[in-house]
Amino acid sequence: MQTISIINYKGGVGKTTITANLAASLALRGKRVLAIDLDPQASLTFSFYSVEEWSKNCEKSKTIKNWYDAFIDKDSDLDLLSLIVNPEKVNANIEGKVDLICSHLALINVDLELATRLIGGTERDLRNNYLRVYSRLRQGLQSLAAESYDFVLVDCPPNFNIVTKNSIVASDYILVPTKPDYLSTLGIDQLRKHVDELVSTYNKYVKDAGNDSFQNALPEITGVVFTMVAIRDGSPISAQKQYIQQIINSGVSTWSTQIRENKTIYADAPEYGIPVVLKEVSGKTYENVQDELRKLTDEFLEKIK
Amino acid sequence: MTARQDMKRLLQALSKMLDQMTEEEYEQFLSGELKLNFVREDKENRQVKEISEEDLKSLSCKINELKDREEAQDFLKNDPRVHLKDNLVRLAKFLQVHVVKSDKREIIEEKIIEFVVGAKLRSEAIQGVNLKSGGGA
Repeated sequence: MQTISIINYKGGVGKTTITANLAASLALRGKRVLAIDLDPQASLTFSFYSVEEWSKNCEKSKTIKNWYDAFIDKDSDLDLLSLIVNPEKVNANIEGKVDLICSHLALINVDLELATRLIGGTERDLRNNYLRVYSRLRQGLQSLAAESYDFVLVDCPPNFNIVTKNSIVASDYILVPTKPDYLSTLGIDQLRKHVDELVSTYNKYVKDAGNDSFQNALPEITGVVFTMVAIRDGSPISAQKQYIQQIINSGVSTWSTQIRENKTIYADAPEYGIPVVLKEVSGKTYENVQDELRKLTDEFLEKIK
Repeated sequence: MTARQDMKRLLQALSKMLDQMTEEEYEQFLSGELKLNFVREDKENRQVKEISEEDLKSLSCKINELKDREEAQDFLKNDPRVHLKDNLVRLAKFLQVHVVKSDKREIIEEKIIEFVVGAKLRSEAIQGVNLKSGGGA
């Protein structure tokens, strides 16, 4: 079981689109995928369920917030398995499966409450609290049977708060969807910096704690996937090409598959609970978009082993 | 050719010349320090002036080694291989810097410098931030 965080500080760069389509495409190839929505905007959740379905079936007792609430309120471990749901539409006619742990709009408040758990009197208290809080998701995922899933895809919120850090610590890989523009080039440097800092502090505390309850975090930035690329004559427009090149020059690894901008195709896909890659379509534009998503899946399977 | 077309071509030639001048050259031209010269531009001459792929690679390596913007600016201003605006544009395109037709020489230089040197400096600045104290490292 490999855990992959899909993250970028910037909102609106296509994190959820990438997560939903990768999950569906992997499942179409027979893989068992658990998708976890850690973003309080719940975009991934609403890509698989309508708001009404979520309100009726998930809101009260089947979201990741329930799991954090159990820790915050009762200091207890809720079984992660009890929160997993299996969205019907996406799972029709696929060989593998896409399971989901939904998000909750109130997850936005969890960060502040988790922060109170970091406080401690002595240095040892501080260290132990730090490890307990930041390893929550890691411990939770370890409680699932290793053979339950091939991949866990975590759709992270556009920030670097405690919930996001939980995902980084739990991950084997980090995938960074990025729009090729000026601010995104800065964002990638910031993300690398923050990931390095988090991993270094976390691993230092693991070493200092000196017990087997915690293991080092070793997430690898598998690369940047360029999204919302404007294609002209078969390649990105030069205004975007220069930022793509700049990120390549910076030494960050980049995926060769690029996901093109297409508002018509991507805009309404979540409304129907079926990601673009699974839709039955006709027309060259649609085929090109689906072909890219399939290539992205090929590249994913090459890089994530 | 009508007088109007002649005038249009003359103005285009002047506009191209002004476009290729740096601010400094323009000031010198206005003050009389620089004068206009007529040079016959035949095909052979043009081929000689066009920068080679090898030169583009060498310029690209050189500019990548530079550590600050001023150094890069001096380099682009003084290297004879990119004295012509057309060659500077070729260098920009070789590096994948986005330029548009209306960009003046200074703008193209700035874009190249920001693309190569600016990007490195920004990255170093971010990597150097001390996250614990909130101040610089």
